[in-house]
Amino acid sequence: MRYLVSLILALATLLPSLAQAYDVLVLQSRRDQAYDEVLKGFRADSAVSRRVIVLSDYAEVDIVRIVREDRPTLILAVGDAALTVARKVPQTPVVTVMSLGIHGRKALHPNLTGIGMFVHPERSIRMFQAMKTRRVGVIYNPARSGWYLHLARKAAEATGIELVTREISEPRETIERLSTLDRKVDALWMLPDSTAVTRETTEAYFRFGQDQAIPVVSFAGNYLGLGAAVVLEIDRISLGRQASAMVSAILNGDPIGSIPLAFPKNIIPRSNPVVLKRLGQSVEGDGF
Amino acid sequence: MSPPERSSSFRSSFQFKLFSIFSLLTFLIACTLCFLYIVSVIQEKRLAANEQLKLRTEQLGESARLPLYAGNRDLLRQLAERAAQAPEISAVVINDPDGKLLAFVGSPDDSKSIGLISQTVEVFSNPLTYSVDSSFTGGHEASRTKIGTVRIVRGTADLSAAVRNVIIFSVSISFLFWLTVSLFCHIVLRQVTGSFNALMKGIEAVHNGDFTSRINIVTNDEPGRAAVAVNNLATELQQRSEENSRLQEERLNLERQMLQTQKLESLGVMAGGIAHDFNNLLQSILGNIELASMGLAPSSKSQKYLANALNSGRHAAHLTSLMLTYVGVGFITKEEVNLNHLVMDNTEMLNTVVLAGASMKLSLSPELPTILACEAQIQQVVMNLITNAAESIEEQPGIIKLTTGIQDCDQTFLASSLLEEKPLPGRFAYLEVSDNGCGMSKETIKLIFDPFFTTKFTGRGLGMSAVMGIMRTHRGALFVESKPGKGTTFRALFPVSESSLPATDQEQVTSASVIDTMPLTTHSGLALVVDDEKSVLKVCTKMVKLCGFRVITAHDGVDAVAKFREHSDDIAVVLMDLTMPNMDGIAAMNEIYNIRPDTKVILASGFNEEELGGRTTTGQAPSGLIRKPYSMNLLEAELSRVMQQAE
Ligand SMILES: Nc1ncnc2c1ncn2[C@@H]1O[C@H](COP(=O)(O)OP(=O)(O)OP(=O)(O)O)[C@@H](O)[C@H]1O
Ligand SMILES: [Mg+2]
Repeated sequence: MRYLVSLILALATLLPSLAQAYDVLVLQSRRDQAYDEVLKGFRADSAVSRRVIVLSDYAEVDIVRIVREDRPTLILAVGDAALTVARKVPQTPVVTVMSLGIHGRKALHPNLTGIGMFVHPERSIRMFQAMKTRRVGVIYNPARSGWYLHLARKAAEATGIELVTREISEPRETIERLSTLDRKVDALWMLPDSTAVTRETTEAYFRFGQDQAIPVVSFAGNYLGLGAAVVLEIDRISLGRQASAMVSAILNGDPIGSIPLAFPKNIIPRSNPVVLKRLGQSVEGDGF
Repeated sequence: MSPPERSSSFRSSFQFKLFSIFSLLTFLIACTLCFLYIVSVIQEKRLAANEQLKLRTEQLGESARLPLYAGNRDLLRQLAERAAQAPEISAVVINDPDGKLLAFVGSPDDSKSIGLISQTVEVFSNPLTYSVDSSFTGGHEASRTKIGTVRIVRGTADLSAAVRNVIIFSVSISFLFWLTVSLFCHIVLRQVTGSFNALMKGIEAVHNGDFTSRINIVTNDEPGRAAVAVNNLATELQQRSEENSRLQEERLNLERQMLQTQKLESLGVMAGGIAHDFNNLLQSILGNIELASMGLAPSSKSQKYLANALNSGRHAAHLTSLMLTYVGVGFITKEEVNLNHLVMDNTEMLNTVVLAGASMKLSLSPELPTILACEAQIQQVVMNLITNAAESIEEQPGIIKLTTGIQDCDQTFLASSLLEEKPLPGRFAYLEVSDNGCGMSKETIKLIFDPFFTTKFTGRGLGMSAVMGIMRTHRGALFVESKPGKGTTFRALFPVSESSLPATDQEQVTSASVIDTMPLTTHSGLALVVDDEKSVLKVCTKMVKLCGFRVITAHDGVDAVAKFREHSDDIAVVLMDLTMPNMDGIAAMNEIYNIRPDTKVILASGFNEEELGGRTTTGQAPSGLIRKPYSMNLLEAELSRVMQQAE
């Protein structure tokens, strides 16, 4: 009898865990076409078992319990909101994509890695070369983008391009700082820095570009419509694949600490021909 | 009508009432429309201004977004100043989300605070831009952050000016509209009420007694039909008033005629009374003279004087008969008379009347029909007319024309006859006497028939009265044409006689002028002589005795009947006066006929036979009639005639 009871208990506890057993818990911040595309790339290249939870579908997600019960090997966090939730279970390694705050958190969380939203500085510099610009204006928050500027400055020095930078600590300063770039730059470089670029300040960049008749180089396709001359957009499907490769490496036993944060591998340059034509600007060589 | 009266009657007129109602109505409509239009324009203007201000504010908000976000006061101030440059903007206020003032442009004075309108717009982050996060993920972002508020205050002086213009414009348009409509109303109403006014005028005219005026009918509407009715009424009233005046005239004529008749009647009664008494007296005088002359030897010298007295007496008798003729109750006998013959027979006598210096011309129409008339009277007419004509000639060589002729007369012609009684229309024989004497005025012509009217020193004023009496008895007509100094023409018309009847018994009143023969006493028997006048009775008794009768006398009708009863078988003839006290001749005669119907009764009268004829219609006619004063010869002839009848 005791034997029978213990068998039933074993089955009751084991069966569901067997049925639910998976390697990767995918936390998606919300249902969004961009995220779906990333996951599409992710799925295409990996055969790992996974469970997808869209956070915005629930009022609250008890990630601690899910992780305790499901025991996923890895969490793939898509978006900043998903990353924040994933960080509640510090012991589980987290790979994150489409997250802006990743560089700030990397230092605090050793078992966190992922792919940032910044385009590789060299790629960007190459674009400015192609556009034949000498001085490039940049506005950034050192707390958020200081590390990138460091890399970018190095890349620029190598090519002879001068980065004219202005530091800000809060969005309101953007407009005022922008005005100080008056007639000092040949192009304006928008960084995915959430202090430097907000809904309120975006306009100021394009207005500045328009006033100074200089191209604005940005990071998302949306900005083409607002007046950006060229954008270097991340290929999201490729981003998914890149993440999938990263996940596979960890699942195969690579310690997460050894995998550094990566730049997105595939960048799609796009331009607004009307704006380019207005500016009399052309993009040459391997810009595209 | 005086001006205030006219205006008050106009104010109470139908036209004025309708006009005031219409114009008041149109005035109210125009006012209402004008008011509504002004209100709507004011609202529209205000709405437009608000809308414009809102747009302006929103535009400012759009452009101020970045500096607002950045808290750039200088830039905000510049923007505000630029916005404030637009006309009528009195203040521009820009606040941060906490309500802190960032920029203010405008006059702080509150003088224009009345009628200010303001628009406040909240400035939010641009919905078309993206944050970094949203730019990576599809760009969907629901939340908006408030960046600040922008407020623009605007004065309304320009609106007031515009509204003032609109008011002036619409009020003048309304006024024009009102004027036009009122004018139109006035014209239409004048036409419409024109027929009413015509009707009123017509009715007033009829009311004031002018029945000859007619309303001019223009339309066939109700007033037009009423006008027709009023016209008909006026026609009827006119006819009635004409009839009235005609009747009045007729009545006056009748009255005048009656007066005339009464006058003549009373004259007739008087003349008849006098004539009767005269005749009685003359009977006595003449009878006695005749008896006296009979009693004298024919060679006696006194015989000549008696003959003179007898002549004068007879003349008096003639005058008496003339007097009766004047008043138309003359004792006449009508016979067929030819006016030509009558004139020819009397030319000599007529010529004696015409004085020296005047000449008489005769112009007699041949084949003149005869008339039924008393020749003696017609003679008198001619005489009187010729006498007057001769007397009218004063100095100038006078010409008196006497004309006869035939004339067919109708009623209208006869209506202008001078006599009251107009004869029936038909064929007339006329006798015209015209002279070139002094003539008469109209006033004189009116008076010539009045007895005793004369303009002559020696005149009696009876000539024309007699002519009128004679014309009346002959149912003739008399016309006169005369002008002072231009002579006179009298024309007397007599109806032509239908047949030529043989002449009736003739009594030659004026024929015997001398006593020719002595009566023959061939009669015998008893005669009853009745007369109330003793002198007459005596003379008559003597005269009857001379005729051979034995005589008994009675002094009145009663006495006569009693005497007759006594000697009824003996009495051969009764000679009885017609007019007696107690019982008159007719009654007595009837009594006598009752006693003995075959009695011979001769009635003697101072009146004429016609009167007698009228009074004996009921009973038996008298055997004979004799008119006083009668001569011996006449009595004898009548007695002989009556006695012969008996055989
Ligand atoms: N042919 C005439 N011309 C002018 N006046 C006349 C004529 N016949 C009559 N009269 C006027 O009429 C008046 C009346 O005339 P009437 O014969 O009645 O009277 P008498 O001639 O005056 O007098 P008597 O009685 O003598 O005739 C006259 O006085 C005279 O004025
Ligand atoms: Mg005379």
